[in-house]
Amino acid sequence: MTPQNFAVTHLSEDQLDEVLLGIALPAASAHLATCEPCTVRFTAFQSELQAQMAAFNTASLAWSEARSNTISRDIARHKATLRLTMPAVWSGAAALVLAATFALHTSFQHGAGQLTESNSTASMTSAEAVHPEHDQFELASDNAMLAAIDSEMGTPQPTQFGIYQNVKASVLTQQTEAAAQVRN
Amino acid sequence: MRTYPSSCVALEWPLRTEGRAIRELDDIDQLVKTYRARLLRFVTFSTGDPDLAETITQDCLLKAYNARESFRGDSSVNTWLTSIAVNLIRDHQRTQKFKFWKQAKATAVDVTDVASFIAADNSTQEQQLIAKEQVARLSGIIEALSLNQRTVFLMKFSDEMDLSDISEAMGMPINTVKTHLHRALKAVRSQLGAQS
Repeated sequence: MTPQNFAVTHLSEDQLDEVLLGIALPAASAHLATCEPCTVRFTAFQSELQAQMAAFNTASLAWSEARSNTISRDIARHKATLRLTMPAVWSGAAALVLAATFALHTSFQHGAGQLTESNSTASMTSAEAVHPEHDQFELASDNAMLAAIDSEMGTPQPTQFGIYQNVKASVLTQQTEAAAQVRN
Repeated sequence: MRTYPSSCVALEWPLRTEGRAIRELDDIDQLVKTYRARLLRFVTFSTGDPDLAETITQDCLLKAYNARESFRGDSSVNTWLTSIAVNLIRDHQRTQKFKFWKQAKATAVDVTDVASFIAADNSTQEQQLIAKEQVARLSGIIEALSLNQRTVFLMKFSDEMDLSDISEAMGMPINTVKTHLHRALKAVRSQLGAQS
């Protein structure tokens, strides 16, 4: 048998793998059932893989079961923690949202207050219209104050020259009186 | 007693089978008891890191428990859990931003420790030694495979899953699964041949 014939007539590794995986074409399975060299090749690999896998599966499952038992309570604990923490987390989130809303509201009001203050002069006229009694009283007191200021401002203030003249006049009077006394 | 959402009735779910599966998912302790060891083994030998595998397995079971309502029952619970585990492994691979630290922190599977779990049944000491050697040998060969090859190989030959289930759990077409399996078998064959 030439190598070419071998390639043509016998199953390839991929075809043998397909048989192993259970996805081979019927023709490949039929060939394997009748061809001894292919059966030998197939059985050799299959038995070796099965032996290896059996040992591996037994040991690895026993190992993971043993390891799994050491962490057996963790899930239950995590579940309990989750049950306890979830309402707490939601409460915290709700409190946070409320706090944020309150802070926003307060800062908004504060900003609005500042705006009102700065606009108070401009809105005086309209405020007067809104509170006439209060403004009447305020206007009266303002007028009284202005009148007092006017009267104060209207009173003539002694100038430096006036003070000098007054002093000079009094000195002259004193000198005249003194001269008269000497004469007498 | 579990109440099903009205959408279940509207969609005419096969409640008999899904009800069974959902009830199975409802009891987390039973879920852990039934699937954790198998999942832990799968994730351990997929990632090669037993500590990480424990975390992923725990996450997987918790995720399944929390998302049990979304389980439609199209596949078995085992396949569904495996698909969650595969996604968690992929997430971990994807988000390995601090690779250096992860590598420094990673703990390798102690093959000798695993092999020591060969049951000391009726087999002779020599047989046990051979079995331990086989475990160590195959563990080394599996470790050398790529992540996808290793994962589908373990699903097929360790968990004995069907190709259609593997395809579903991996979220890849069945032909891609076949390709990964072919490559994995080729590598295993050549390694076994080289070592024997």
